Amino acid sequence: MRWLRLYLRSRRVPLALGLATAATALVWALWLAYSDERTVNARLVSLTVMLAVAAFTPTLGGADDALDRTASVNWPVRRAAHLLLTASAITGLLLLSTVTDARFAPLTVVLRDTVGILGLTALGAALLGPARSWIAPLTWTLVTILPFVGPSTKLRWQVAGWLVQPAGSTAATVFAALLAVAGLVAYALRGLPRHPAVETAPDH
Amino acid sequence: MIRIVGTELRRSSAAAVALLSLLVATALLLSFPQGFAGRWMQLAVSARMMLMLMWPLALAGGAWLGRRDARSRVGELFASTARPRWQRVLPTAGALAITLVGAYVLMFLVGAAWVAPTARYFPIATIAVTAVGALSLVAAGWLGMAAGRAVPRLVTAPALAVVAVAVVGLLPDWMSASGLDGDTPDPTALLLSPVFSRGVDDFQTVAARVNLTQALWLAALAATGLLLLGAVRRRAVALAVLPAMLGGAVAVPLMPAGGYDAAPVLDPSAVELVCDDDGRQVCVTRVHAALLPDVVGPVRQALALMAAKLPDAPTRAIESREISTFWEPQDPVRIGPKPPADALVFANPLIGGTGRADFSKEPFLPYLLTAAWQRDCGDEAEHGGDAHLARVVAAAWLTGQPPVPEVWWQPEEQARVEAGYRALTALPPDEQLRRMVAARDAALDCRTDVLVSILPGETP
Amino acid sequence: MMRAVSAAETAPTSYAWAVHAERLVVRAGRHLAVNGLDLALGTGVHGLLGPNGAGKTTLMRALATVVDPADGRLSLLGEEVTGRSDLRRVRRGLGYLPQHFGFYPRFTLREFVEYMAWLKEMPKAVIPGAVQRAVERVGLADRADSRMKTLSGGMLRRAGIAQAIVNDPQVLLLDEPTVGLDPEQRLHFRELLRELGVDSCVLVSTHLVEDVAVACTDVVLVNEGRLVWQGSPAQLAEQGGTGDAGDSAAERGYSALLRAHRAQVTA
Repeated sequence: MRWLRLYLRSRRVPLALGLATAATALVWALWLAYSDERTVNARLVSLTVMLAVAAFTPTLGGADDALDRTASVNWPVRRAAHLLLTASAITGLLLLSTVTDARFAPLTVVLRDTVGILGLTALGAALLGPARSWIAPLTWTLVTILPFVGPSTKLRWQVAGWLVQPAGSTAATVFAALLAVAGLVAYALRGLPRHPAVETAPDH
Repeated sequence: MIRIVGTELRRSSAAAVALLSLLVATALLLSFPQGFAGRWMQLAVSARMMLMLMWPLALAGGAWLGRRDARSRVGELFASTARPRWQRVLPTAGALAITLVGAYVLMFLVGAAWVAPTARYFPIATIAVTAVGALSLVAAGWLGMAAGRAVPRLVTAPALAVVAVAVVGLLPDWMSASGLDGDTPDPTALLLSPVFSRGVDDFQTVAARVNLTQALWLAALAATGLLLLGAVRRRAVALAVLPAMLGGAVAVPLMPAGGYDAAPVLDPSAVELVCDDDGRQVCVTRVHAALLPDVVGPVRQALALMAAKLPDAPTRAIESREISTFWEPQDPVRIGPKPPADALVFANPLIGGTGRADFSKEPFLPYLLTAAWQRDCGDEAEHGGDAHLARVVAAAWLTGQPPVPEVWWQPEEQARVEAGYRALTALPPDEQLRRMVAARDAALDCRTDVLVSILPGETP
Repeated sequence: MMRAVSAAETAPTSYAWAVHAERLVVRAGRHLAVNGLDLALGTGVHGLLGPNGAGKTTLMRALATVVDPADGRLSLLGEEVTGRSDLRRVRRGLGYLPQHFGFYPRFTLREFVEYMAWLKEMPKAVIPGAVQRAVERVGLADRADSRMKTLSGGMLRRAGIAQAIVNDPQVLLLDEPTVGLDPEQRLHFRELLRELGVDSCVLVSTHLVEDVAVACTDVVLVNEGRLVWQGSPAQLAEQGGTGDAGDSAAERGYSALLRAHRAQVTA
């Protein structure tokens, strides 16, 4: 347990968890206060997931990635576990709301959005480093939020707007799963890009 | 200073931020060129809609740039230098402003490729609407820089963008939607958001008052961002908030009441008529002048068909000048006086992606024939869908061909149209003519009851 | 290389010491890292020696006007430095290489030094020439147009020296400038220090007693926030006896002075 606690602290997970919880709680409270519907709007669900994933983005890298790399632990397994635990933490956080009157639901949508955005973030982290990994998921989420992107029957728009498709949409689910697998594989196997050591601060 | 701005343009992330917004926003803009093709004002307003995406991205990019000093740990070194902080931030802020304005203007210019070849009318307000949009991006970028400096964390940029899209994108829609129920006008403060989520009609422009007050407010907001960025002491931070507060306090009372509904106003120059006198006269509005060559043929054909069958047939044709507002699409408002009785009044055909008329989705001639029994009647009541079905029967009578069913008709509607046509053509020719002329006379007086009477009752 | 000489530069100096501290107290967090230090430095190269935690870096930061003194008096170039005063004029005459040298990694070396020259409010016309000269003096002329992030550790240290000397400072503060320099570069650097010390006040903080012994005209030894000893390198060498730790006369002198000071404090 001690090692796990030290690992979590070295990746600043407590702070990330706190931020993600605060963001989720804020959206939940606003929805509870101002909306008559019980289920949170699909656009707002994807925005909340985006915020939670952004909060966890800094945990994808340590204080000194070059030093980390020299450690003799099995990094691919550990990195994969890190991603899976993050996904379950975020999903669990959102699902806590299902017992209240403002629910992040249905489960399939929450799960799809979480693994998709987290996968895209992990892919970005493996290619560009954690510091820039939020750019692609954020841009995509913003595009999806636009009023003229919504549930669609055309495959092209189903993929482009995968975050706001209804629960049963196969194209959106498959695409999110693809993003998740690509992110998981790239991040677990490749890790973070290797940069030459500079005296500037690591990016968090 | 100029050299330093050049260095920042080349080396800082300002250019990358602007490039990302440019690419995404332009791709989205061009995903539906029919929305603005051939019309400058529609292009300017569509660009303002893209702010829903560009605004959060500019904020996030600004936050990223504002975090640079903390990321690079230059604080220690720069603290020993002579130049005061507010001067030091100017080149960076300037570079971001230049690239963001450049991205917005470039997006507009790319869109202009779909407008310039066909547009015959350039309202000056287009420039004002575009300038206000560009200014809003500067405000977003500078506010983002100030936020990134204040909270130099990785999560700042994405969190700021998400909050921004909620505030400029989702919140106004939600506020005005909740206003619709209670029949109260939208809050005036909605116009503080630079995003036009509603759009304007082809015959409208954005009120100069709205442009001016928005420019005032956004300039104040930008000033606050810049002052926050340059502030060192607590008092300077407190003072930096003043421009935005003052700007908001001055701008809101100066804005017209009614939120988004108040921003569009009629553009009298846009609805001036442009005519083709080479044969029977055909007139369209100036903003649709590019469509004139496309509509002249079908319109003259329709006029000829009418002249062959109807006494007192219309001798010329004028484009309808009714505005369907977003909030009451079934209740159009007529501009100007009633059109003369000898003129056929027709609505413009669909505009395609090139700015020319697009007849492929809706055939134009059958519509034009129904227009003989229609008039710009403003908000005077119609018999709803029945009048439309009756006009289809009337148009079929003109051509002598049975009516072609539309895909969206219900089976019983189709049955009624066919029954009506059979009943009408079963009458003696003189009686047919008498009834159609009477229906037309009533329709020109904005009554559709006579016309509707040619259809069988609701339950045949 | 030609360069314009402004009236301010040719005016006779009106102060006795470029750096003058009296009973100076500077905090590092809650801890008094500099505690009642008296120091007077004129033109020349001064080596600042002391064990880890002696307050060298905090003293450097206070002299660089990055932190305000908590108590005592500090004047730089004849002007009083306190929390309230306008430091612009003093700062124009400062050069500073911090222990952690931060930089914009995407700038090229030339652009970064140019940026620093702008921050030091140098006249626009002289900047390009001054930048080229500074880069040449640290031996990085061939890498001037490389991005900062591509430079190696030793090159970055030299880049840091280049930005510090770009404005020909009257007070030059170098905090551990020789970290990461190879032996050849260190020889070159000592040469540069001697040149710079001819007409400005250079304060070099280092752990390498050898560098001080060879390149400095004056040695300042601090411990626990106080001045322990000040004198010439030759005098430092004389302080040590054969029983003191060290491989050279200067190192033995350093050990002897520290031992004496510690004995005095504990007594």
